[in-house]
Amino acid sequence: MVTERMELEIIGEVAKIANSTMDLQERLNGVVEMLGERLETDVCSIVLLDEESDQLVLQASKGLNPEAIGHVRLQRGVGITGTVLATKEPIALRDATKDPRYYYVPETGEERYKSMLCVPIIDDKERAIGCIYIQSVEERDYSPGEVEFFQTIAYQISGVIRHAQLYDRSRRRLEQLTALYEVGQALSSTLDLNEVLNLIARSSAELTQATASVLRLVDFDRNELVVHASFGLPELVEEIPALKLGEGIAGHVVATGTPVMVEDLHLEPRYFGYMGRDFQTLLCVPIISKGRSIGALSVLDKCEPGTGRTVPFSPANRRLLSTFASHAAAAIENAFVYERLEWLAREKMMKIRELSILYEISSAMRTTMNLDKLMQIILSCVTLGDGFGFNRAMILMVDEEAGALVGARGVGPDSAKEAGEIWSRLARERRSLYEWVTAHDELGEGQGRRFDRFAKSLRLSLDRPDEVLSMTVRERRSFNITKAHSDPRVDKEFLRALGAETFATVPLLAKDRVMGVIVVDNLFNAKPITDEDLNFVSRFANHAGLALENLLLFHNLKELTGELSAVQSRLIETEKMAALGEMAAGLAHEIRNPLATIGGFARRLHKKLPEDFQFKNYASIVIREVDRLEGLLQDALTYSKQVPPSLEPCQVNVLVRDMVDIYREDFQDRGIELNVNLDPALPVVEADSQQIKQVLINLFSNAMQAMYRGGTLTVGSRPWPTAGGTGAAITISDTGGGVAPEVVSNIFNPFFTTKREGTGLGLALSKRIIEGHGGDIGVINREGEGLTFVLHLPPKGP
Amino acid sequence: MKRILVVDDEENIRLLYQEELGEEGYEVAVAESAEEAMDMIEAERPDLITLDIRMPGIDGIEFLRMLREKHRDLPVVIVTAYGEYKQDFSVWASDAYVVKSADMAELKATIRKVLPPG
Repeated sequence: MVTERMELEIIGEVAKIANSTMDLQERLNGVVEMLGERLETDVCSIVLLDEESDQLVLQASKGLNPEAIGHVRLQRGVGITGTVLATKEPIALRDATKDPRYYYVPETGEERYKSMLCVPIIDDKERAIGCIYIQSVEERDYSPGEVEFFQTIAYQISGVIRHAQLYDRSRRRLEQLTALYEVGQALSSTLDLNEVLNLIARSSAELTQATASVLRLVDFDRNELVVHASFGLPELVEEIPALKLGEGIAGHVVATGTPVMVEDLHLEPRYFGYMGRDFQTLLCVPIISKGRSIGALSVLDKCEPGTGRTVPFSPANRRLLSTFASHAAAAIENAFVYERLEWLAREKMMKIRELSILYEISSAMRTTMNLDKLMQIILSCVTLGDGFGFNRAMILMVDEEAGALVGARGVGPDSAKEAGEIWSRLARERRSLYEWVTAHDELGEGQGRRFDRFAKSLRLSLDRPDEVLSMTVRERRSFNITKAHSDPRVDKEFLRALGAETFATVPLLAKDRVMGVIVVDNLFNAKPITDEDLNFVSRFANHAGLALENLLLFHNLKELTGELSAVQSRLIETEKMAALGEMAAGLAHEIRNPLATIGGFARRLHKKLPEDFQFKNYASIVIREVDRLEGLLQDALTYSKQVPPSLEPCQVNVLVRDMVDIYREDFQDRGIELNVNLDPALPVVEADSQQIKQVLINLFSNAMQAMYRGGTLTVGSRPWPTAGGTGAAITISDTGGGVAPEVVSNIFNPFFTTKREGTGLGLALSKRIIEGHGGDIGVINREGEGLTFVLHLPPKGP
Repeated sequence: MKRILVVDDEENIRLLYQEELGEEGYEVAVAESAEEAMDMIEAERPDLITLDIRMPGIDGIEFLRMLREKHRDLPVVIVTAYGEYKQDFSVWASDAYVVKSADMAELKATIRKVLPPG
């Protein structure tokens, strides 16, 4: 029996509990414990309505199975508590088990309690938010006063709950705001896009107690939703495919701009799934910036604190996540803008750097006018270049006439080891690009020879329409081959020799034509060739092409100038010679007159002097000397005249025979035997008969003089086969004893003579005549025996 | 007796030729220039003229041309130290061309050949 005093005390206790700083659960526990004891009941329990599920949940109990707390749920309207909640009227029963509304929940315990007093807990808005009830094993009645008292307590408890809920809500709100604030701080502390995105993904999961989260952003160029960050499923981020806008839950969210909550993903038709991971609950909100959706934020499998169960997300989660998403949107936008700025700045830096590299290269290219050196500089720039360095590079030049690309120069290490040495040297020695490329040959004369040789050995036809090098020339653009072995545009032979899986080709343009191709590869470090790299090389190739063209023009000019110079020199020489010749000729002619006079009178003297005159021979001597002078003069004039042969078909055998006939008597007088072997099959050759006769005269008279004591003269002729047809060979052999070995080499020199009465010009003149015919003359010295002269006359003139 | 006019600017040549040709049985007159030769021809026409090319004043070629205007068939033998005139067309106006030499056999034979008989 509860007295008034006790009632006051109980109310006081409840008030004390209500005002304590314990959390709601503890307070409820405290209340039921205290009530159960004070009112001496077996059971005192509080059930509260869970609005989201519309179920009455056992929140606190003294006497019932503790395991049931939190788990026992009754639908609204079910059981006595359900009725009380619905009617908002208390129910007092002597034996509840006999009441049709009685609903036994086994989890609460074995005992079936009989008497029950249940009153609703009403909040300040007159809504029933739960019930509080007491039960006893034995049957008993409850007086109206007791019911009224219990209602008072319920009212108080309503206050406790409200208070606690308010406090909770405030606390949670504060927590959320704090969390949001902290996240906001973190977001604004970084402008690194990736950091921002990852932070957003993690925070969204934390804020909503989710197990995993996925952040997707819209790629406006492709109209796709791409995963940019995630939390809780690291290894799958790469695998998640992009969604088309409108596809999937996220797509729908972005398209409509409204959030979506799913309680069971297995039943959701729009769900795409994440390979291998099985999720159940999902909340997805749009990320909206400046009025348009730029992405979607999804959180998965909310984990109930304390129990670890997967539970659906609540509207509160949705509101929080939406708020968060708008913060995130701002941060993302900022990060994007920053990234773009950074990219622009980087681009600008790169452009500046490129320009300065190009400037350095141009300067280097101007240091040389040597074609090979220029090519070496060009290729060095491409291989040593700071950051753009390819492993190997070569130039092939277009040979338009041959319709082919011919390898001109290659620069690159011969082996990976050599490559490594070069790179470490580059790293150690700090020099400007200019210094490096102009001093490149310091890197070792022997290094890179193999690649250079290989490059120079290349010769590729330009005629092939589907081969990458031909295409480079024809289409005047570069190509980046990433898989050489399987690319149909790559010539197999070329690939085998080159050996690189990735290479690129760039045309060398000069004004309006393609001069050649630069081929670069990264054989040793297998670094892929980016479009950026290729663009740089292309721009550079234009400079290189111009430089090469200039150099070639310069060389042509130099050659032409050189030729002109040479021609000019020759002209001057010829003129000089001509002048000299004229002078000499004039002089020679002037000498003739006095000679004629001297010799003429000497002859008269000789004629007039009697035979026995003691000094008659003086006159003879003068006559002979004058004759000799006249002969010399004539030879010299003839020799210097350089008359070109007037070519006619000539029967050499006839000439020889004529000559033999003329000299026959003289030979006989001197006791010289004649052997003539002329081949009747000797072909007709083009020659100047007069000049050939002169040569024969010269040789015959030489032979005659050599054989002053007699001998044998052998004359022969036979066909002389040459590349241009069959000519004639004539041999004249004497038995005059030959000459000393040191004489042989001088025998054809002008003014060289061993004879007392010779001008030394005869053989020189003969040689000139024969060579003027395009033939040659030679001598065989048969020491101790004699000389053999061999003449060769070609079938057609020189 | 046939009359030969020797035209040459060198005194020694004139002397030599006069002696040598005189011994051959010719009447020999000498002129030291083309102008003198023209006068002498007008005064007394020779049977043959030996002519040097290189002379100061009017040279042999010019003299020959002048001569031919008046005396078309007067035999002329060019005797000169210069070999290349052999290629000059104008020398075809002469009847023969001999290169001056200490050995006058060729000149003598040529004169004999060129002189008209009788």
